[in-house]
Amino acid sequence: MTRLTERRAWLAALVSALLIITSSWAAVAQAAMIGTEQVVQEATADAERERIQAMLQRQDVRDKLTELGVAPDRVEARVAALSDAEVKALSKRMAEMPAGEGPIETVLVLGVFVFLVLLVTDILGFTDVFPFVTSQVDLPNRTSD
Amino acid sequence: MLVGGCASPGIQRPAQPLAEIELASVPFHPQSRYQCGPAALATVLGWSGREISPETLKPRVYVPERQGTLQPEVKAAARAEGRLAYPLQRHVDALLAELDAGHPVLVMQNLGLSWLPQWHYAVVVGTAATPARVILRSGRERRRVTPLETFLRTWRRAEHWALVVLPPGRMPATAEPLPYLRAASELEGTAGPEAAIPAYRAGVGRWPDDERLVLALANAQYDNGQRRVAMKTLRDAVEGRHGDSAMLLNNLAMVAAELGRWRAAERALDRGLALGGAHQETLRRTRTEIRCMRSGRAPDGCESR
Repeated sequence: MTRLTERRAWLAALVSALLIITSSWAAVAQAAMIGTEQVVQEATADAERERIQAMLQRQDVRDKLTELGVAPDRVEARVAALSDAEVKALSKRMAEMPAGEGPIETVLVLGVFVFLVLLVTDILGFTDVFPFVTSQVDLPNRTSD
Repeated sequence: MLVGGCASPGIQRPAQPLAEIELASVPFHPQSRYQCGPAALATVLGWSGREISPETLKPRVYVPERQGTLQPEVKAAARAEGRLAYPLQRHVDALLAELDAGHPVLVMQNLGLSWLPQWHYAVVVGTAATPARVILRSGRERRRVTPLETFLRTWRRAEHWALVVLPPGRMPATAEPLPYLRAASELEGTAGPEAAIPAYRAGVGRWPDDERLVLALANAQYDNGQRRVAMKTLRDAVEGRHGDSAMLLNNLAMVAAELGRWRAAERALDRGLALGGAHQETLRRTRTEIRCMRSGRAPDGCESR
């Protein structure tokens, strides 16, 4: 019985010593290394940003924006300025848009429009759907904070 | 605006007529009730050289409340078996290219209707040309032959989801650098650096100009305890075609310093800092840290100064 307890205590000491050694080693080692995960995240955000920009290049999308009284260039500039996290949030929201029945193109285009309209109205300060969009327009009745 | 025709809009068309392909060696696991996910996964894993029964996989991927299997869990379970799970571009041409390379393709289908879905996982193992058909391991059928048109519809209702499951080191026929790096990095996250090293190495072989893959390979070697190997990977890269890669120079400096190769570390940092551009801040931090290491102080103490 005592021998068992002793063995356990010895084992626990060994395990904790190992844990301390390995964890401190890893912490020291990783501090200034550029990690794979980080590189993947950054590259993914860049790709998403390009995807959104490519969408904004579509003539039908530009026409619709113009129809809504918004300069497409302005939206482009806005998207370019989004941070990685913001781009991620945005494309997640796009992915969540209903991919329902019917001609897939129609659904896609409709989804894109809904997204763009909300993005634009967010920028104009009419709506507040995207938490990362800060309004660029001071509406008369809007108090600045 | 849509003039009625036989084909409904949005159905994909293969760019070329179907070839006569059948991967006859792909094993078959007949599914039991609702368990097409584990069965299909066991099929592609078995082909990749991992013999595993659907029963073993079931608790890992089957969600009883949903009477089914979720796509991310399929990917994760494949990785847990040390296999690269690579989602395909959502187009029939990608699927056909993989088949042509001899890779069975795990697909999701909605055999029902969008408002009355009947989700299903199956494995595409071949195609036949006239009439155009798709050959699947599906449900209880070892060799289900479906008209291409029907397959494309049921697959489309599952948003053209498709996956190849490969031994690390084998390259998907339709691999693109970033999705491939992501898949290999996810494999590393699930199965550890050793499992991912062959995948990264194959990636470097395929896209030798992509510094991110070199970085990932060296990081995995490093995390696998092979610091000298990691240093060699980085050094060969920056002395070869990646002489202008700040991120590789940064990591080279760090690994060299840990191996006590102070001069090599300083040289790498000098080169990296002379580049200007990206990662300058990181390089400066690395320099501070390395000088701390060299003077024998704990890096924590240095950080706070």
